[in-house]
Amino acid sequence: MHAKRYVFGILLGLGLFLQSPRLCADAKDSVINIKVHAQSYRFNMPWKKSRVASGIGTGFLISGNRIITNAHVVSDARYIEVRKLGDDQKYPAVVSHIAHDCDLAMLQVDNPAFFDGMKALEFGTLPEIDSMVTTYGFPLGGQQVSVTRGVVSRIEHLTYSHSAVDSHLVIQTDAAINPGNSGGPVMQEDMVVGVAFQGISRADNIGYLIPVTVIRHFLEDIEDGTLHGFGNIGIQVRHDCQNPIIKELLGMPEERSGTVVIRVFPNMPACDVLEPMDVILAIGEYDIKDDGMIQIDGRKVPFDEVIEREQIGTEITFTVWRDKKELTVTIPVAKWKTSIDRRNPFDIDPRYYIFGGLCFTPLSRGYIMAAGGWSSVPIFAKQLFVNAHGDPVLSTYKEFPVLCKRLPDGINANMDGFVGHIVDRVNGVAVTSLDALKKALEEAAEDIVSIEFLGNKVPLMISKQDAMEKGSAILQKYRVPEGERL
Amino acid sequence: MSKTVAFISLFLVSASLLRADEVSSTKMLKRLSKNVGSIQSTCQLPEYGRPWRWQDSKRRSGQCLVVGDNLVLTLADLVHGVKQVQMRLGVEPLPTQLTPVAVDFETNLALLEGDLPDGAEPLVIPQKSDTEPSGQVGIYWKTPRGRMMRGSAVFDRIDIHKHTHAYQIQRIVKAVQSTQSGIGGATPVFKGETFFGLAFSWGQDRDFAIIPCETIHRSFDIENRRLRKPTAMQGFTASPLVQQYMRRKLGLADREDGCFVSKVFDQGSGSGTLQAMDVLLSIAGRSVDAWGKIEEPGAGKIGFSFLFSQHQLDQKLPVTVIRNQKELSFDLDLSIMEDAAWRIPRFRKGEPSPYLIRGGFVFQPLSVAYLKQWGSGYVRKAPVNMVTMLEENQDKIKDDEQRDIVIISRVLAHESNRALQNQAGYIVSGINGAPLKGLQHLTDVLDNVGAEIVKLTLAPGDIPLWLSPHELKKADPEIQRMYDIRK
Repeated sequence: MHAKRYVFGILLGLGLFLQSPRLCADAKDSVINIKVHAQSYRFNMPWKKSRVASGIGTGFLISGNRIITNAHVVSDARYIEVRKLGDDQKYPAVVSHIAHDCDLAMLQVDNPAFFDGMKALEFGTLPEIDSMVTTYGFPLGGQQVSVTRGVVSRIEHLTYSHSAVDSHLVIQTDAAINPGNSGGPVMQEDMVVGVAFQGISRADNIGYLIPVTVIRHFLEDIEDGTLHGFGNIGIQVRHDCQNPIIKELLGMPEERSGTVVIRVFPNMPACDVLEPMDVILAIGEYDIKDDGMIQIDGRKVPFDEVIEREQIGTEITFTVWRDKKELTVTIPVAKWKTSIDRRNPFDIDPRYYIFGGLCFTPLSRGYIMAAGGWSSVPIFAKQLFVNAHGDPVLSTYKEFPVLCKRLPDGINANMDGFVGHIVDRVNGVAVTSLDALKKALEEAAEDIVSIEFLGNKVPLMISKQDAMEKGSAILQKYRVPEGERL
Repeated sequence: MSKTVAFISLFLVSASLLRADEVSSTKMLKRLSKNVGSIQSTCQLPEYGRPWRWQDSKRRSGQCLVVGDNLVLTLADLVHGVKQVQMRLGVEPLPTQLTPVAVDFETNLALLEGDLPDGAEPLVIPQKSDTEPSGQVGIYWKTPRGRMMRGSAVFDRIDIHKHTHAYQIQRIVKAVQSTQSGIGGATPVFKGETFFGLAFSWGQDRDFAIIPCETIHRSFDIENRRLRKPTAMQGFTASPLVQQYMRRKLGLADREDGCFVSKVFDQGSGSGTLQAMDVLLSIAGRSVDAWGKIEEPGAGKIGFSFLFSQHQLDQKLPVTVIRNQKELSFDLDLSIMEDAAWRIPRFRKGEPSPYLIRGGFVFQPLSVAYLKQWGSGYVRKAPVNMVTMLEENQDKIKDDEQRDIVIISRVLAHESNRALQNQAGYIVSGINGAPLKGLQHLTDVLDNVGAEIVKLTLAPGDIPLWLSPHELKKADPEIQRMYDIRK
């Protein structure tokens, strides 16, 4: 099985090698300056767009006249212009694929003249620690490409700040990475080993690159023309086997090692397969150490790197220690099922529904940030955001409507106290989505509808008839173009 | 000619009036210098995040009023967690050491006694403050060097207030536009030459509030140097009933009275009688409006809550409510709220929190004092699961099934808890597959060192934590030595 996969990988690599143009000696012929005009929504007033903002970034050409850059460079883009080095022309570009979970995007330029004289870059492997890398980009704008060199300091898993929740492998380097460098290639021996993407403002010269393992996952993912994203199996682990007392309590032989499952998330593939206090001894062919690490390609990485590298739908074999016995289970990789969009919102037209001047939108990170951040949100909304994905019932909800705005009118007077609260029920029936809320409000049997909010004993009551009759006038008064986006 | 005479006469009259005021003010300062002292306390509270330790001591200063033989009155805030307290009446070389004899956190007042210096004279506190608005009040305070100072402020309004460590809501007087900024700390306030009350800081820099005389007498039997019996405490919360459709649905569209009872506590007046979502129409025969206010003579509309503090426990408080569309009248059983009864303790008097340290795991009850480590905005800043637990349990009292809610507040790193050192911040919801009843329950189970394994369940997420009581106990002496834990 593994041998087959390797052969396939080698053939695929050979195929790409044969198809690709010659190796480029100078990445400057492949680096692209990107200018973006972007506009998103204000998630606490979801019908309203924010101001247009302009930004710059870097990209590079790969085989098939495809341009790779960071997702955060081209997020919410309304218009993109690209320019190659030494060219006085700018060419319009469009986003063909964008993966916010790994901060990568692919651009397309329709004008073939853009590619004249350009050379496609090829991907290498994970660089060695302490080896030199060279970054190319346009830090803080500029016409000329900037080249900086640095050392690979370490390779580890880290949260990608673009989405704020996804964690993948990163390469840390001391090569200067500044705004504008984002999306630029990082080279070693004429091969791309990473894409520059984020730094740490509170530290000197710590920059991060997206490694080729993540880039390859993105490229393989979109081969069928659709982006599926990274997957997961839905477990939380703790490295209890590092503690000899617990290892003994678990009945683990001293010579065995592994990591302990402490939580299995509902509605995820590992649910009903793994159990809390199972010890995962091995993932695929890799033995897991007591600190949860495995050796891949001679490097020590967290065991979930194996899951990371697989596409959604792929089955992975786990060797597990349970009740003092060893067993083997197979779990498919799946996308996180969540009723709350926990990522920073990009390229999203937020859903909303307005009833009698009361605007509802799904609870999301985008809403929380737009509403003033964590300290502005009622505790029950915060609690839901943090814990809903681990709750067997709540994790089945499509979304949690939050009253995000009141457009003041006589029919909704004295209802400001409910703004920011999560709708729990309408006339006693649980609300599991924005569509369900709309249905419950518009199809209520009685005129006065009762909306109950989480953690709030006193409900909001509004007249269905008045809300329907005066709804359009309220929208007109506040220049709201549409009463819903569902 | 006549104009000149008139002008001179007017000048002389004004000058004599000003002079008279100055004389009166000087006389007042001289008189009060025997009644008013400056006070300084050193207070120390437990460190609720590390319950085996105490916080650094803090100094507080303010004023005190001589109210009896070797007896002074000041604010309870000044002696909260007090370790030492002293006062000066004048420029005597050594300050007088005081001891609290009665502290009332409900009214924020404290009586202290000590061997006062010669010349200290008690001030007689009128039974009631004259709260008919009259414009100005005088404020008098003593500097730490013994100098008597005077300022003034404008009497603004009667209002209600809940002191920091209190359950009761009190009727207070608000003063504004003080000539001196930062007035508070038990500064005596006079109306003319009559004592009016003690000031505490409130609101803007030049605003303050006054505890009136009747509240002082309600708190203390000054003559006998003791607290009076506590008055009633409200055991429920109310919220406005101002949504038009809700009023229509409840049949209140044509009325202006009625607010919601939003939450009923397990103890306090109203407990067992009122129900959440009752519409409160009247209390003590006074109509409650949609915003929860009553008409108070001389004060206008103020929240009804202060009425409880005005009633003794043997009195009845008649209420009228609408429940299930029926108007009902009954008497509320007046009662107090016992600190020790809460499922989530407040530790409002500065009591130390119980705790259990086993194998470096610091277990303690979730308490309001613990959450206050995150500051006054702890509801928004403290860990979300703990705040949610507080929201869901703060009105509940202990019962056999749930004495308190146990948290792991920290893990003191040691070889025995290797790999488990980031388990702090969880709530311990279960033990060996059953719900955990409280800290004592946990102690009892962990004390059974014969058990091979104890399985704790942590919330959120039902996260398992397997511990060996024997190994935990074995590690304790070394952990106590490492982290200097005496008990």
